[in-house]
Amino acid sequence: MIGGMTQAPPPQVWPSFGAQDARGLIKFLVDAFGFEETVVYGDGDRVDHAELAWPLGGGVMLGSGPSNPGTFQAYVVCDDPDALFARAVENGAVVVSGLSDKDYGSRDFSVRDPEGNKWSFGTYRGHPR
Amino acid sequence: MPDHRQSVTVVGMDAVIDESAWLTPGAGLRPFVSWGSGFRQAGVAPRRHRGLPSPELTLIITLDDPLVLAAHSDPRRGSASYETLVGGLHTTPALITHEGRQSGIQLGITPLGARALFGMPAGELVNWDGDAAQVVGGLAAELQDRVRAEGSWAERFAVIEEMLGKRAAGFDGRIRPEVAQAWRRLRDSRGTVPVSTLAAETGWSARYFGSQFRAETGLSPKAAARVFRFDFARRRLAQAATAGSGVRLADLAAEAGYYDQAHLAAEFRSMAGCSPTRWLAEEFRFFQARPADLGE
Repeated sequence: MIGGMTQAPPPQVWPSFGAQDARGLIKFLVDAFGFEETVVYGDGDRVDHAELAWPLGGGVMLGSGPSNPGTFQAYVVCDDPDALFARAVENGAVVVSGLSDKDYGSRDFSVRDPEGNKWSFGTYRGHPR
Repeated sequence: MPDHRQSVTVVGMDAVIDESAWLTPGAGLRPFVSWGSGFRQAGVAPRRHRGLPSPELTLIITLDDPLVLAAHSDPRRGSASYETLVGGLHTTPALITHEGRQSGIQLGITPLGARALFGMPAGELVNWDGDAAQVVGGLAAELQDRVRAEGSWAERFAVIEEMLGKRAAGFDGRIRPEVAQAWRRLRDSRGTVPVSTLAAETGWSARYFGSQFRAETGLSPKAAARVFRFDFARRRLAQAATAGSGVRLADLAAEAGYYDQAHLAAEFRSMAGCSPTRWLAEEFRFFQARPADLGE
């Protein structure tokens, strides 16, 4: 194996999803697949935001939230959310939530593409590992 | 002022409680909450109730016992019980059971209300039902605590008005005007305006209209039309049953815009999971027509 010791590059596109039982799902993803917990923010059963890293690079984000089973979304890191939002809407993306500043410092929006897939964009780049 | 119906019958040691009250949303909430009802029953027979597809999302705040969902509208999810529940738009029934006691407040939430109260389009919740805390966070428990502390339906409804009114002020509840207009057209026509007409009225291509409408509501324009038509048909059926007047299914099919009685029956199988007659037999004893229905 070559390059096994190098640092994996930080992901800029994250698979993400809502979970009925976020703590249970995190445990499953760690035990069953080998994801590694980077951060889990929340209180009691509720998980506001969690990041799990894949040892070879990349990772997923999840949190407690209404979500139908089997629906993945993507969170995409971007530098200029305002311009991207305008461009997405211009091209027919359907707004799920408009531009807003999050309390953790990110500026975000989320939309659906014409086939109904959900995409979130924001300036938050993921927690450093 | 809410309409009240209340009966307490004492049989031996066990009191039979059967109360219901209708909430008429005030001007501030009316765009978001199309109706509300309070109910409290105890000492009645255990039963199963079909949560049928309707053009409203659902918010339920229970009072004494959690709500038991024996079957979700999404069959992949197992049974569960909830202190507070949000249900999205759906086209198949959910199954609610109780063992002789149930109490709570149920609200019918419009797609605009999903934006304003839940902070997300109705499309995000389609075919989903579950813990309201997943959707509104700490507000769910707070609503339940406040409602439980009140002693009358009027006071409980006042709490709902106040808390949801505050909540609505905090969100950008806008829907694209073309989609909002199409929804109103479907509502006012009880699902009988052809989808091609709806698309033409927006000035958009049929494809673009379909994707915008679906992302907002979670339903395709055609599915939404089916839900509006079905909603009218089953309310009409129930209304005739409560009034004791009865209705011929063939007449109802024609009135509701179905091709014929067989199409109405097929739609009942699909949306209620049973025939119109079976649904009436199961629900009739229990059914209370909304005041708005009686005026129609």
